[in-house]
Amino acid sequence: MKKNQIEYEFTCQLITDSTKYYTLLFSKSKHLEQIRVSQIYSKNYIRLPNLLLDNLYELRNVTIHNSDSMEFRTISNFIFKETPSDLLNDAQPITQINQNVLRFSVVPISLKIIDEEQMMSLMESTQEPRFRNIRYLLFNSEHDHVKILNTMEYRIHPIPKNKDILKEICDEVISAIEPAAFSSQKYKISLNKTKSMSNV
Amino acid sequence: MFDRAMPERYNVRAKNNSTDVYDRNSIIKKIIKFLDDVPGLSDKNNQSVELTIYFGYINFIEQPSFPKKYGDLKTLVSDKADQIIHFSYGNPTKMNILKVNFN
Repeated sequence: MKKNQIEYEFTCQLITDSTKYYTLLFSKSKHLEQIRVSQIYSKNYIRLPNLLLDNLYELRNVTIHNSDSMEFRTISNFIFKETPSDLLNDAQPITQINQNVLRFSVVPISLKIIDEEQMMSLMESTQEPRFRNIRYLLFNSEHDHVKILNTMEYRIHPIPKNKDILKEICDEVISAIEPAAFSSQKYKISLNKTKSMSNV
Repeated sequence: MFDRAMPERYNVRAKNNSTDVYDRNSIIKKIIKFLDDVPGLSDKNNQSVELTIYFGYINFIEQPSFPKKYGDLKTLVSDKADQIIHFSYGNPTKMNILKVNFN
């Protein structure tokens, strides 16, 4: 699977298990490509003094099921009672999902629409973390409405236990939000030389 | 779950001294320690751990400057027991990220 084929990420839980998250990855053509089952290991909130933004660092244990696996079909069957692609309607932009295709035991959490994705490179690792510009639809069952947010996230998987790589990642993330006056020579923040993020 | 835009329980160490002086290295050290303490990361060969960093706004945490963001949480803060923290997502148009020179 090509990394940037994914345009939609739908996350849900089952009422029987509140620790597991099921994230269903859809391509631009709304085809279900991959299922990721995850559990949250930890969440750390970081407030940087005098800065505009805060960060949430979240670590998850993720098991990936591709469309050719048995688990993929099993999970898909207990989440959907109809064709998975019918979850996403044809309206542009998408502001809601078609919950009728979900089984009764499914609790929708969120839908991420990945608008832009920028691969980054690390010196200490061959992995490619990504900055992603996303539209985030939150489903709040209490109020029966959907909240839409534009936001940004940085993601790397898998993350190795290597302090040099962790430092590089932290550096990269902090550089992205700190005022130019604080940035070191190594991480240049340029007001003029903006390179636009590549479209998916 | 913050995923559902709900506040969650979080232990705030209100007595810890913190500073408004910007010290990049100590911040990074602190974050690495957080990440390093996660049991799932202890196996170097574990290929299943994913890190996602969200950009947003904390409505409540242990820094001196945070009372501005207290709002209705102020009464809860005085409990000094388990506190409530709420993380809301950032608006990317207000981030310097768009000004970073990607190489």
